[in-house]
Amino acid sequence: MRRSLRFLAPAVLVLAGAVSFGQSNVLEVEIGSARGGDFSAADAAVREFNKDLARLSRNYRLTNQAAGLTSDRIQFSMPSVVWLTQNGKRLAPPEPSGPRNGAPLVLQFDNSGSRAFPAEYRQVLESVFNTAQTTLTAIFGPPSVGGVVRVLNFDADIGDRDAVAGGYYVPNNGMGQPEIRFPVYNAPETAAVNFIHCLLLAYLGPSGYEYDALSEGLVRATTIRVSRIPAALPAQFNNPASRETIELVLANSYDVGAFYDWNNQRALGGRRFIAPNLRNVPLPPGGSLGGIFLLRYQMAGSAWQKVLVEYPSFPAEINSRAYLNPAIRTDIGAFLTAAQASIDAIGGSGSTVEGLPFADWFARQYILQTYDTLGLKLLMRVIPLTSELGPNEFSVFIIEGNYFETRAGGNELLLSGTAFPIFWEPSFNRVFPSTQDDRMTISGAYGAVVPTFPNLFSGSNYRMAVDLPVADRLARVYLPVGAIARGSSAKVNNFYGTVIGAENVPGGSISVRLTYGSGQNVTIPVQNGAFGERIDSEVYNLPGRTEIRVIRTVSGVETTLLTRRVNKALGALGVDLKVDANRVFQLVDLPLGLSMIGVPVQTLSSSPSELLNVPVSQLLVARYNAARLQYDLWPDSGAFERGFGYFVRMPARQTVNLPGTVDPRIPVSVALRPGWNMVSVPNVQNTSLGNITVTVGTAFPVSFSDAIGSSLGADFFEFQQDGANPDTGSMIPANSFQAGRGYFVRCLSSTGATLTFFPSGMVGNRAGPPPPVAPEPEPGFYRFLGEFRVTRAKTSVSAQFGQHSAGTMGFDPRLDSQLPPGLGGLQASFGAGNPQFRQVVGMKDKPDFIFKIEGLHNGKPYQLRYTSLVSKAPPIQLFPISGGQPIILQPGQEITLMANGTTAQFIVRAASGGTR
Amino acid sequence: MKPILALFAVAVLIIVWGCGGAGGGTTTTTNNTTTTTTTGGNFGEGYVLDVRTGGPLAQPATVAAGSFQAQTEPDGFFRVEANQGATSLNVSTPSTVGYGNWSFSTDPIVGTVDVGDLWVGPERVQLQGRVIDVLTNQPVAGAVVKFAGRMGTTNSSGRFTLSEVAYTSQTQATFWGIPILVSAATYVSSEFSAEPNVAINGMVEVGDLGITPIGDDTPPGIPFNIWGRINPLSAAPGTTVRCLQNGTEIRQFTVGSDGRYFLWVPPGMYTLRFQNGPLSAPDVQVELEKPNQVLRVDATLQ
Repeated sequence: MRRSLRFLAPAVLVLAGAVSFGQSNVLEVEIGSARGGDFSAADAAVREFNKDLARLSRNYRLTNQAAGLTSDRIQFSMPSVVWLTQNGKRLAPPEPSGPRNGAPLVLQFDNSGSRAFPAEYRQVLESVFNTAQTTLTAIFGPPSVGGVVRVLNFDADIGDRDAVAGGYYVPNNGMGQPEIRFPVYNAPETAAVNFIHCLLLAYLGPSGYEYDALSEGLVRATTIRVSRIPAALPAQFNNPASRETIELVLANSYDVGAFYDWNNQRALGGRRFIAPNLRNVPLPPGGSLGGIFLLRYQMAGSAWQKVLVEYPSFPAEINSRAYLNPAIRTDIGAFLTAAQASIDAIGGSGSTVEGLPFADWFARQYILQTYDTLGLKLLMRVIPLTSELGPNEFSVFIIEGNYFETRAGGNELLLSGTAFPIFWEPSFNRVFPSTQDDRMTISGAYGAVVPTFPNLFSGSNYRMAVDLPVADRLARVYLPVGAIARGSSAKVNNFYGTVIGAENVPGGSISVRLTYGSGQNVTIPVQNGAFGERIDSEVYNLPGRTEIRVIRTVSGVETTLLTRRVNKALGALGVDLKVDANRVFQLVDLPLGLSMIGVPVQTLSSSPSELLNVPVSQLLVARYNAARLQYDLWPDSGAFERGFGYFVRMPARQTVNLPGTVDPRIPVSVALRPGWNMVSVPNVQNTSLGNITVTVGTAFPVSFSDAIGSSLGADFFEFQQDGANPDTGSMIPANSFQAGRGYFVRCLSSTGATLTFFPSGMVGNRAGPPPPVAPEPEPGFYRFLGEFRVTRAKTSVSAQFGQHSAGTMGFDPRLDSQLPPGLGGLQASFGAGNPQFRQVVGMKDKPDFIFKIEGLHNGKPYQLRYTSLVSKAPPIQLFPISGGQPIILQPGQEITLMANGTTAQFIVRAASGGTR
Repeated sequence: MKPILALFAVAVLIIVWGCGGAGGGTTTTTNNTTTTTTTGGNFGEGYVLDVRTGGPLAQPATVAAGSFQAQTEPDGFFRVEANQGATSLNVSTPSTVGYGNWSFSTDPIVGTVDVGDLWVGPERVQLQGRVIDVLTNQPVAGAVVKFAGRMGTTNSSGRFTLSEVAYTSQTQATFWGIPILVSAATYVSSEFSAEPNVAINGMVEVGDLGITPIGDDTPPGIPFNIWGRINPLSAAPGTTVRCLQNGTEIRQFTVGSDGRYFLWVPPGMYTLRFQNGPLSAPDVQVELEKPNQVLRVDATLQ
């Protein structure tokens, strides 16, 4: 029975004839009970898939064209593996028609009929296979299953030629045969590159890796490598024009080129490159990419290309192991062990990738993180404009924001919103390049601005830090302004980047030394944290190993501050150099029970379970979500993000190590959304309030104290665990940000705000930290401000009350401050209604302050101390609401209260001559 | 350069570059204020976007403000001249797109006004819900609700209805990503998503949207996945709630004056025990299947 194919909402994708992206990059097509010969449903599914990709490709091409990066002649491709499934289960792998592992593929073309290619085109494909086969096998290893693979012309079925994006591989066409279904490309070079890709998928056959990052990444990296070996392709492509076309095809869909460091961001990670729910969503015709999956494909190709630069036969090594041991294809631990064994087999024991053991290197490539993390994701992509600049344009970048939310099952929600990019010059003053770039409208997950950065330093390069805050997410990249291309010059540099954390000294200078090829050196001065140079060397232009050192020179004496090895791609290389960036931050003696931690580093792992060393079954992590007004409980809380605070519940006292990276000796920002935010210092240094600025929308940054009452609440709070019950505690006001601790900060601005934490010392043009802005005195004055502090054992809480000339009986965010409702722990507060940490009234008000203590342990003694904080607080009378004699307290006095319940409440009234 | 000088230099540069903006005006900026003076007319500017794709329409749309018209650019952006104080814009989608004509209300257009994103689509639905105060659960009247270029105000019951909202039944990938913006005097402005609601008979009901008073906002309590109220409230303070697993107590919470308890536990089977002096409630067996599942278990002391 034939089942028609239906494109349905994700929730009903499992219906007959529907398609979905299941695990890995495999396109799964459910054919229902039809096992027989009519597979038009599968074809239709793949046609639609390819049509989507083609539209994406056109848009992407337009974007790149605008950036001067590509020509319009290039077609994109996104070949994929298609599995036919029946009742949700994959059809059995094909019975090999020839020898299994080690045997070559035998391509079988139709000689006539609708599936036959034009003779000339078929000749090209056969020629590509015949020429490339030896190279493919050498680099990728022999096919997992040899024998016949049919190659069919599906061009007519795909229909709209402009929409044709690529071919695909079917391990089992329903009749036990693998097939490559391939369109007819206009350009033979495009056909050649894409056919190599399809051939490699056929090499993996039914033994592909379970994760896109591995399967698709290795195939793409190998495609890049094979396509660049002239002898691996037919002679007809061995001419400059064809080579250029091939490079453009690779640049468009296989390789991210010079921009790997900029794009190496956590949002890339996950099990799948295309979210299942977006498979059938049409792509917008504008600049949006409809998600970041094309970048994921490119980054995966580039990441594995780095390995192939050092170990060209790595794919063959790892594949041979994976074909023998299926666990390597599904288990990342097994894969990493096999990968290290593979590079050791090629390069000798203790081999590394870019100077790191394989597992360490792997952990630093976010595109290779196969762990699905939920929650909001923000990725900032930058593309420098290198051509068609106006003569007065110093430096121009396209800055794209990609904003989405990952949901259960890897589905992605394309979010809309507004972002206000913040451009920081090297001394961290905010720069406004032009009014149209102050605001980024994000719709369908995508927004972009194209700022022209000014010539701020008399023609010298400089480093521009770009913060892109959206809701409570913030992405940052460092741009080498003026270091790549300028409108005043035809020169386009091919080695450039930024440096942070390189501390200079008076009379000293900072430079970057690049070693490439067989030891060729070039030393480039670093100006204001940025550098750029044109290296006219064919050796440099090729993919290869490089070593980059950041050097400080004082009186002719060089000190190496950083050595980094980078396996570069073909052409230019951009790097983001961070001196002293690797840290392992310790959360020392995290107690059993509730804690509110802060994450000061960009953790390498995306798994809180791994970082906290708590099994997933016991993992309790939560972060408050002000948009939902409730906690996101793990797994909804996502990966640990630098600058975020989290509640964790540890099953036992434990010191936790958080390995990761920091941005050393430079201000780092955290985004706030309206309402309460759980944040932390995004760095390993404790930070006082004088070293924090607050930026709202398109305004200039202001000091933390200036922001209070306008964009920030009066107080911020930390959590203090209850001494008796580790699963409860109190919110107590804080006065500085300690690294590793989480804090509740309240944002009053409806557009959110950005906190920027300055380190205690800075490099570059700035001699020291930003001038601490003295807290601006409140308008008016206090008559007095007093404090009650309640203490028992190690638990201590406080609350304040007073009179101020600007005070009112109502709530004033500049003077009054709120506290949480009972957390089950000790809590002190003022106010008859919602509890306040500080209640300040006017001079003429004559209130009875209501003082409440909650979370008392019945029968236990508590110390209550009365302190004068501002001016001289008056003596007060304390009337227990439950009745009894009032207690008179002078400032500085302390009394002992014996709890006869869990709550105690008092009326506080000034003694004669006091507040009344 | 001293920091303060650098800052000033930046400010001066803005004056120069500010003229390169959307046109028709000059921007003057000092260290802490920005003044925009627009000359030569009144303009509404924003984007026309397709709810089906999340991006601009495949062909340009026409945006009209009275007798003035403008075409959208490839990215959906438009800038249309308007009579001073105009409060409506009409969007005509091309016949090839087939979404028809759309009318949007805006804030009065005086000078250059950013009217935001105007969403169009193959279907039109009503979006409705209720705005409440999260602390009191009481309806908030007069709250302004904006979504997809539509704007409305809540009535005395806190209810709002936005008509002619762009929608597509094919996918909610974009629709759910458009923020519902809620603002009200003395409340923190908040964003919400229509997810997981879909249109039923041309209506998307998003339920209660809770907003937080500025003056009464409080830091959140502790995280929890099992919680409840102890009844009667008068007897609740001081109640000890114990959480047992296989007979072993693993959590304890002392109920405060709000009468509520909160427990945070990994997935598993638990017994909840309630005791306040001589009063108690029957034990309750609960099963938490996922760490992000939230269970409510109320108890009545006897």
